[in-house]
Amino acid sequence: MAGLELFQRMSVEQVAKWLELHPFEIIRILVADGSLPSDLKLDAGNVERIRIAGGLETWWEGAPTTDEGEAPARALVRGLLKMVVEKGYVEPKSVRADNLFRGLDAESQRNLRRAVNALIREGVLASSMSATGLTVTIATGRDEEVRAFAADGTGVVDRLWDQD
Amino acid sequence: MSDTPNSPAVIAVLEEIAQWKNRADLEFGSSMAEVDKEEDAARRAIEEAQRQLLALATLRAELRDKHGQIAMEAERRERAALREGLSADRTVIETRAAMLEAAIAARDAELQRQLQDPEIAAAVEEYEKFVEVEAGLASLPASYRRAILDHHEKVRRRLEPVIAASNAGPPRLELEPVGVGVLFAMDPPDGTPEALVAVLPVPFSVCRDWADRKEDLAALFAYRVVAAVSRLLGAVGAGNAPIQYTELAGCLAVQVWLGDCELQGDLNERALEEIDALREEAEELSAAGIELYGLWVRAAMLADEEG
Repeated sequence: MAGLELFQRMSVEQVAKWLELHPFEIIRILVADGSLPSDLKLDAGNVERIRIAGGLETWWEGAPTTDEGEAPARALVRGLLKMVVEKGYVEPKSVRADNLFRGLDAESQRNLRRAVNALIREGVLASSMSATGLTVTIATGRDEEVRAFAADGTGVVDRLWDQD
Repeated sequence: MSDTPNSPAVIAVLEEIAQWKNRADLEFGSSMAEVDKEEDAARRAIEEAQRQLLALATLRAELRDKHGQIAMEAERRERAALREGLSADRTVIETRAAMLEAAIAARDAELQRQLQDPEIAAAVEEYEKFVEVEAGLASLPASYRRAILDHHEKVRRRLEPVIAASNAGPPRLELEPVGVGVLFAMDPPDGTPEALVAVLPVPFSVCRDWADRKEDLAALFAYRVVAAVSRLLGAVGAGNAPIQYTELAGCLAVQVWLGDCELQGDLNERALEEIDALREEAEELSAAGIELYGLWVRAAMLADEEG
């Protein structure tokens, strides 16, 4: 028989695990949206607000396909950049950073985070903070290089990846 | 000498003049000796005064040095007192968190017991079945869907007391209220602030290990302060300011970079207003007998001790 959870609204922690977000991010999104319940208990409506106001998306449904002889980690970065290009996230249009990793297993997330950090350091990607969390975009003037790497794994980004 | 004999009167006058000069010479010598003596005394007095001035200058330097050490010692003691305060407040929150958890568990156990009542158990089962099929209701014929929804509403009304009780606020511990503080600091302390930090008396693990620990009073406290800081930033036009969560003396610190923002409004006053609002809103803190206050301190007091 079901327990009390059948009737109870969700905790911030439960929603954070469900949406793969840090609880503090949940709080910041709901505050920015003006919809944080005073008792910190969340219902389906709140979760929907988090998704919409926070711009949450799940980009991955499993590992990306690899070209022959391509290392899985490199294929992951190429797969990610392909999606960033396809979705048109070139400065000034940006996407929340955690969308880049949502849906991947822990190890793939770790690898991809390292690569994204390297791309930000090199100025290929640009990051900025917003009230609802960190956002990322392809830096102005770097989209052609990203496109080349995403399409056939060549160009400056490829060399950066090799260095890293 | 002239051959002209002098008159006795002249001799007498000359002798008197000579005697007078002699006396004047003696008086001069005596006076000069007095002046020399006075001069010596004055010179000695000056030398003594100079020695005293030198001694006073040395004493002044020693006093300044000592005072400087006192100021440093006061800072050291202040820093230590703030850290001890944080630690003590953290213990209060952790202790009361455990007590609140126990009270909630006892209340939930009682509610769970009520669910065992055959009549309620049957209603719960119907409620559960509805939740399972709810997503597919749209595909059903309207009349059938209406009948199901009407029936569910009846079931829900029957369960309303249980539903309300299971979503009620935390039970009150009825303990002596105790104050705990959130420390705020701005850097630089005067002029346009470049950074804001709020230090909470909760363990840093509420941030770092959130997925592995239970969402307790300390976590809820952290959510409240993160919400208050977010509202504060929004209110002063710094909603997009970067926030970092770091560890300070084992506690959670919320650090905000304000260097790229043009602040509108008084950060100090707004922060304390947000804490006041938080105190009113946080039912779980009130239930645990915790009274929250905000305290502005100098940023240097939160820094690690040098050396």
